[in-house]
Amino acid sequence: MKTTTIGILFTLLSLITFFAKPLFISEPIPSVLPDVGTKIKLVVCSATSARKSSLRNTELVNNIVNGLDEDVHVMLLVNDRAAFKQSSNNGRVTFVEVPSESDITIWPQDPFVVVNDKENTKLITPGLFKRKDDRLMASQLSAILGVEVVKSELLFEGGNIVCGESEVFIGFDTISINSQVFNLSMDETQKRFAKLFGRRVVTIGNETQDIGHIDLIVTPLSNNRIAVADSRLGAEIANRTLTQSPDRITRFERNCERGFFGDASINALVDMDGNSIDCPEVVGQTAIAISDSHKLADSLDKIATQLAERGYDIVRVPALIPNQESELETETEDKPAPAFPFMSYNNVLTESVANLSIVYLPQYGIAELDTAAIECWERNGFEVRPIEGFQTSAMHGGALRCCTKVLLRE
Amino acid sequence: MNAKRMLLNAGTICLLATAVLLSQSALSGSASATPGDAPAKGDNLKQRVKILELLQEEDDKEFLLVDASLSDLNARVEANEERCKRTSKRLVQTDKRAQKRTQQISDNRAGIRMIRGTIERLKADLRANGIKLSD
Repeated sequence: MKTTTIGILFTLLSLITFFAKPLFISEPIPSVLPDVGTKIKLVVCSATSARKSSLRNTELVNNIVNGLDEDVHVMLLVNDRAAFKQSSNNGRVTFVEVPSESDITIWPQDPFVVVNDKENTKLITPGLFKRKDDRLMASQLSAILGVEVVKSELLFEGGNIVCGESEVFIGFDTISINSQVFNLSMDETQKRFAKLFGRRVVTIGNETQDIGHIDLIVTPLSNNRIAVADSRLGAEIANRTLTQSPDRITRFERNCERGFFGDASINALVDMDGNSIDCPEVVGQTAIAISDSHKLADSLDKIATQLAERGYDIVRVPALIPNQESELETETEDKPAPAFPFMSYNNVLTESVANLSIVYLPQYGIAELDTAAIECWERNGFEVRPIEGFQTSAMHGGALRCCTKVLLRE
Repeated sequence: MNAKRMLLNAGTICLLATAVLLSQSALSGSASATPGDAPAKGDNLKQRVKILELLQEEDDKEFLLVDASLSDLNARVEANEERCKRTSKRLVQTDKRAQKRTQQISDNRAGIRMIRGTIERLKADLRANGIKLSD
């Protein structure tokens, strides 16, 4: 009798111990590193050499490294280390070599997402990432930084995910594709992402995206605010410049063409497969981009309304957005078609240092648009640190956030 | 007496369970997965960055990256341009020679036409003078 009673008691206590464990032990839940928050400490960029890539970004890397605060450390992914020479005082930059036979892009934002808790930082990679050899980026960083890489089965690109103070925003296409692949409802897919990223998930938009990555048009800010691109405003500013100073626009367009291959004397290159890469025509295209921007304005307004209805205060930032459909027609996963620059002033990095909000803002070379964007961010309480030279990367559809992934904040 | 002993046993078990919970709580950090040689406690990445900062010198501020392969490409482009110029020169010379030859051919053809005309006239004169010519 006594033994039975003790046995029952022991079993009961074991069960209580098992189920009460979470009450006593609070294991930290890893969550996505937000796009807002404290000072940026560590970022990753990627540099491609002239002999390996048609998109040579050495100058841009210099602009980014020197444009960021002096105490930000930069991990620089390279697949052609021998091609690069650097100043002797390069302690801010650590080269991360990927195998020379691999082919990487200048967009480290996309192949992984950074999550962290009090204990650890982890890099979450998607189930499949086919763009060139960019999937190697996470593993190479892991080897150097000693962070864990966790492969998820979900499919995503970092550029279609932005993170605010409490919620993660994911573009409709990502949720939709996963819902189809895993045969889940949109809500279930959202929940799976919420579990993976440790935060509530908000799907941006409710139909196929006009713009491939939401980080070009949506920027979470502190204090319950979100900046959404306003292509109508961007088009109006560009149109004023085109009417009043057409020469400036022509100069900008010529600069885009001349700088496309990193050297004005190069008009065309041949890729590894022997296909010719031609510089896209930019001269005369601004007027078309203005018209296309007007066409996209309504869908951006819808996103702004969606987020406002969710309780966010919306800030509108000018943008000049060329036609995205023509790009998609010729785009392949390996080779996005270059076109007129996508002038996004949402593709930024932000940080807060001692009550000072700072935005690192890409600049493209149309002074009126660049200045309007600076003034817009300043009106919203930001100290603006402009970073020049994004017109060529923008012709491939990306800007500062696409080129620079934050790995750690203070 | 039995009840007292049972209560004592239950108390002992409770104590043991609490001890287990406390020990699990204390060891939860090392129980979480950590990669390779990463430190087990505290943010591994923060510690790495601290090390990188220690390696950084005070004057490590302005960074300059140079793509040496671009100048290598420039050299190749220049060499190609030189080759193009030479080829172009040769092409111009060949073209001139070809033009000369064309002119010569055209002159020759004109000469042939002239000679044929002369022969035809001679034949006509001969026939007019009653001389029979074989075909």
